[in-house]
Amino acid sequence: MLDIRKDDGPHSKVFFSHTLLPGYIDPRNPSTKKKPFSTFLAQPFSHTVDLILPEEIYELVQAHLEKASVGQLHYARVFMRLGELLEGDFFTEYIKKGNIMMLSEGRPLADNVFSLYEGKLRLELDRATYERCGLVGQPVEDGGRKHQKARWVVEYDLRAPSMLHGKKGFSRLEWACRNVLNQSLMWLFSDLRSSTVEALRKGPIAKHHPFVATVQPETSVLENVASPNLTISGLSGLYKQEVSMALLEWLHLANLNSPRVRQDNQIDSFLSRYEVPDFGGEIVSQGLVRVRWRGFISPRFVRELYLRARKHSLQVEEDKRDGEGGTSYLEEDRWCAITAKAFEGYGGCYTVMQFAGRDTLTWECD
Amino acid sequence: MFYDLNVPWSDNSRELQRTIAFLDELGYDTVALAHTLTGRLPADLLIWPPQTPPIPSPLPFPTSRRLRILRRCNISLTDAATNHRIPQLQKHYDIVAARPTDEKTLAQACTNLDVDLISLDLTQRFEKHFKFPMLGAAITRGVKIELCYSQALLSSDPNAKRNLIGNATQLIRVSRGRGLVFSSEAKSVLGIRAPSDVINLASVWGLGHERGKDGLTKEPRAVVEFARLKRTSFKGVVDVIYGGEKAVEEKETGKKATNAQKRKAASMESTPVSLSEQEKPASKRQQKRNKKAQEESEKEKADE
Repeated sequence: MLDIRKDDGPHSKVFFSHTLLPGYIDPRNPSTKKKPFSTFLAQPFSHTVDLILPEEIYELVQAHLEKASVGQLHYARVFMRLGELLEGDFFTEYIKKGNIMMLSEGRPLADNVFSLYEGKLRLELDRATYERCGLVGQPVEDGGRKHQKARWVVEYDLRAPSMLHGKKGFSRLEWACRNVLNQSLMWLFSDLRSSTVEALRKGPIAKHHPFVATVQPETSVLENVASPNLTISGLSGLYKQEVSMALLEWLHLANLNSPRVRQDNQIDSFLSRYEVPDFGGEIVSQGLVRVRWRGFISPRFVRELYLRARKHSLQVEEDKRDGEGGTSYLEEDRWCAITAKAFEGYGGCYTVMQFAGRDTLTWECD
Repeated sequence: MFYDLNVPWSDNSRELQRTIAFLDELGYDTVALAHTLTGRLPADLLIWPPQTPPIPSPLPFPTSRRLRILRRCNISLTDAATNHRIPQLQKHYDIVAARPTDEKTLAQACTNLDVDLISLDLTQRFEKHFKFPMLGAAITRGVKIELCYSQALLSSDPNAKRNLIGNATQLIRVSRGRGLVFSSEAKSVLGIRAPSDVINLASVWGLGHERGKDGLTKEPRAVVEFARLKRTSFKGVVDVIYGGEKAVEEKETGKKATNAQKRKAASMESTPVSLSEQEKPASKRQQKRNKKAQEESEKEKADE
């Protein structure tokens, strides 16, 4: 409006990578440092996961996704105090011996929020609460003035041997939980060790009366989508910023079931000038299927989904295999894509597009 | 924690209830209901013991438990010479704000007056431009400047918006972004905007994103906390949280208790010791005299 505005809004970044998967992936112990697996692990709390694939490929994997053990997601909602995480059965069974993740209610840069992942308890507190707690933390940016600290993060590794009842460091945390952080909050809880409902209903969490939610996937068919005909040989042409972002934009528009990516899209050019990018090839019309899960989603679930979708739907035929686990057929155009969005304040979103063979495209947005 | 420190109190409780509910929904955590006083103070505030202020407590309608409601008083400064009896207002209201109308009263408010906020009616045209030394004096003292954004949004006067934008940009430039607090002065629900919207509005007027966020979180928190400290503690340094009210156990400590009570300041009462009902501990001479008198009376009894 007036020319005195400073350009200091948030700068969001998108990291695009094109990787080759390792030749053999052990399903029980896949790598954690290579993309896309590192991408999955970098976003611990996701609320929506979408699997987008062409129709003919979906039919191959449909039966597997409808199996309860794979396609269903379980999580629980409880009302608890922070102190109750640290006492008795809950502490020993879940935190010391087991593997859970929890997220408390609250807005990340405005209220006091707590999260637990991989045994690390993270408390994000504002100045008044931090000073009353008496715990040691690191200041963190909260969107206000740069050198005036207003928000602190206190982290505790609850799996460390020094975190036992009776030890001084632990009793300081307990004191803070008893006297300062003693409000009852709503938490989201997910047990990463077991994936059955009974474990949630009968374990130590049962005494807090959780509300157990079972999430079924929602499938929606997107018909007549104008898609670019991408093949593996053309992937090196995507390295320019505009081109890779155009592909991401198309994928997300298809995910939203937008009329702009339909074959029969007719809209006045005054309102929208979007055109489906062709990447030097042609535009074909195909049907896409989107399978969506909404809930408290762990990286393990996304990884399992990815491995299964790849195994069942993107198999390379015998005669086209090259020695390294990939495909020698350069006109391969079968793909599937996974998009996961994180809870606000705990990340952005990522999209992984896997082609049959070894090529993987990853976009990580923060 | 987002603060909205200026929601005008109105007797129409339905509209006010809607306003407060909407503020809660948008994510505000603390809201101050404001009552404007002009001219002379009403008599009922001046007598002792003071009557209740016009904003009742508890409020006549239910509000969300998460929202904290404070009471605020706006004093309209029309004449530099009147005594506004601010200490008495401070007893009744959580925040006291001054609304100067001209140059002289602005100077008085910035340099002398013991208010918590200086609120300017930005829809009026000011003849003279704002000067940094005056506003700087207020900010160093800890008195913040308040910008109300909703008056111009809803008013029917075409000049109001123009004046608001001109005055706001000027204030932001002159104060260099420090010491500003944003609040709505929304008489109805329609004048309220979400915190991010207010930050964006401030950014259009020239205040960076970070300082805009501060103007909604850190600065109003400073106002509320300083106002609270002014009222409940001695110069912000000493505040009695727990006065040790255990009357029964003092008999055991006997000697220690009497020694402690010998110091007048130890009891921390507001009434002077001469007027309190505490018994002054007897001095050593008096104790000796009492003992002697007691022995003599016993002797007399024994003789009889």
